[in-house]
Amino acid sequence: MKRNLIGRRKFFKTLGAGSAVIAANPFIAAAPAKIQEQAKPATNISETSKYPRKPYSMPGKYPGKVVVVKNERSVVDDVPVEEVAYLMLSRSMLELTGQKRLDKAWRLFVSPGEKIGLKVNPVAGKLLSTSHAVVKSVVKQLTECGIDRKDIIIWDRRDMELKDTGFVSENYPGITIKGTEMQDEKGSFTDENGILYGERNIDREWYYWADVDGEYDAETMPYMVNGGKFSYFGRIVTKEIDKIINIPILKNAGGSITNAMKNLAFGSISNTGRLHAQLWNETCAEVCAFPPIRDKVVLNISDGLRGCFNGGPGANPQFICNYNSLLVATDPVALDRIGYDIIAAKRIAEGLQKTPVPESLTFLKMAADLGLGVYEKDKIDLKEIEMS
Amino acid sequence: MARSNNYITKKTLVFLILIFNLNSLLPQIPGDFPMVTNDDLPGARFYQPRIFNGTSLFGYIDGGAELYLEYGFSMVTVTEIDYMGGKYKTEIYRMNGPEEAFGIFSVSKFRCAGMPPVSDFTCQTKYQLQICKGPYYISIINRTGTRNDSIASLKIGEAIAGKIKDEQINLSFWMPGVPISELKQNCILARGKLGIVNGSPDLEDFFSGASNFTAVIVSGSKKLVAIRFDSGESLEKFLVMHNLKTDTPQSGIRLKKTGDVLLNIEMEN
Repeated sequence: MKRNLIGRRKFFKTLGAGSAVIAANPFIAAAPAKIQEQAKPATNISETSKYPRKPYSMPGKYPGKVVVVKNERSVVDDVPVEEVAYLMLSRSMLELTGQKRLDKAWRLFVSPGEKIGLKVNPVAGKLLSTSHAVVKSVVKQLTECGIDRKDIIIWDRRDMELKDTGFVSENYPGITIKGTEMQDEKGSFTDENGILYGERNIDREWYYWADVDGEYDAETMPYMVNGGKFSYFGRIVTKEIDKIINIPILKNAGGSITNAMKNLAFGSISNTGRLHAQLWNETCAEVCAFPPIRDKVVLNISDGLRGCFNGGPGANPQFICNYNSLLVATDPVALDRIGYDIIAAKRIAEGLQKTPVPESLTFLKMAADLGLGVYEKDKIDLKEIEMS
Repeated sequence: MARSNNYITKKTLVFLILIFNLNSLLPQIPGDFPMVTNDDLPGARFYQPRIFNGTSLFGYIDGGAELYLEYGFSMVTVTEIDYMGGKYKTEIYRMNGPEEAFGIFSVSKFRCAGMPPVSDFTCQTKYQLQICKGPYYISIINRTGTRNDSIASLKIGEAIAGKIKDEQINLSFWMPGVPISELKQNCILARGKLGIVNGSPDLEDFFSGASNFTAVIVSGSKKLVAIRFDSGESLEKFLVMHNLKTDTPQSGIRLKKTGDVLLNIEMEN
């Protein structure tokens, strides 16, 4: 009821609220009608409370702290520059941790011998993937602080998208690169027994249950791995890595954004097609509350060198822009809150919307309620650094 | 030497069969689908297309698929093409009809640098050529944004569009009396919530709570909105929700109901 009343007011603002014409408009003169909200399907979020939090569970070492480093030289001719990204990352890490030495800053989060997973986002293809400039900078700084390359895994849901976007051994020698959903050299999604390779890569002990059925045809199933009401976490997350460094790219997604939380949530589980329409906000927040994510993510490094302000999560070139920014935080909720402001400001500047839309932040409010981070802007400790 | 030439000839033949004879390799592409070949673009190299049908679109653009599915999506082919010294990615989306294709086109274009006459609905920007023709929405993306890329994209676009014989959407049906030139420039067709969010976010709250509708919106000196509902019941629900009356003059807004399911609204900006 309240939501719709506010909504209608906002609509009339866009038509020039305050004018005599609108003041007399019967839309607002009349009492608003009641719009029934659809009941949300149930999920198994309550199960997360069974698992005690660890000292550095999400939101990590620095709740509510976000560092944004801007550098206008970070993108040249629409290509991110690795040397500049490296410097931006160094500055971010020192600012976030208060350390004077870069290796010490990194060692607050990772230790030699641990398996470190870098969760990138290649879903929009070459045009709008997490940049190699940022990922290579992360790899370089990890190795400089003593992490062996063989202990680094670059991962995402889809092995084929990693390959398409250049996450291959030629570009990352000595580093494991893998996805949950995969094809063999012949392009087949199934082995000689007709079993999806993806099935080997999910962990049926860990799941996000939601009362929405995933019903897919044979062509869709390889991208979902399984149907039904269970979304299983990938084994990469549950078994193969000790720590996660989340490296999303700063994009809008419909009326909201896809950055740290969505990259983790939708990138870590199977059977996601069923979740977009009814449970997008819940999935972004709740999946991150399960221990494989909540207790392993130590850093979020949002690649905002390039990004998009509309048309996301896909890549429409006319909506791709250079934000020239790197956002770093242990707290993904606070990081997404700041990321939202950057995208909303761009959308307003481009005439796509007139004001920020609070409803876009619903998933962050949910995540904050689950104790995953800080959502209120006035409680976020934002450090903005202009390098250029 | 002769053996070597023979070898090259055979190898080339196999290569040509593999690369260019798309229909024999990919029977799942319908015969009437506007695929281009070397006959249409001499000198081009076509990589094997990827095909996504129905909900398998999630496998290509993940959450981005929701928008296409909401409009009504049939299939897409994604093909990389080397042509005139550049590299191009073509996406040919077959939607469920011309309305659905125009809808996707209208909410995907932004600040067209040019509208070359490849089709009634074409939008060219530095890195992309977008075309709507019949039930197809076509996107051709280049990598470098050069003049050569623009020319090559146009040639590819013309070749694809030339194979489409289907009828276009009739926008004048939706907006009688509005010049077609204005409709081509300023018109969007939004279907469902995601269509509004992507195409006319300033109306997001106005349509909040509405369902099963298609809206054609023209933003000029006034905002013209034509909404078609799936039933008279949905239309009446919308009217009640906004306390709108079709039979009473209202300040700042003109309302006309055509038939049982179509509503035309004219709003002051």
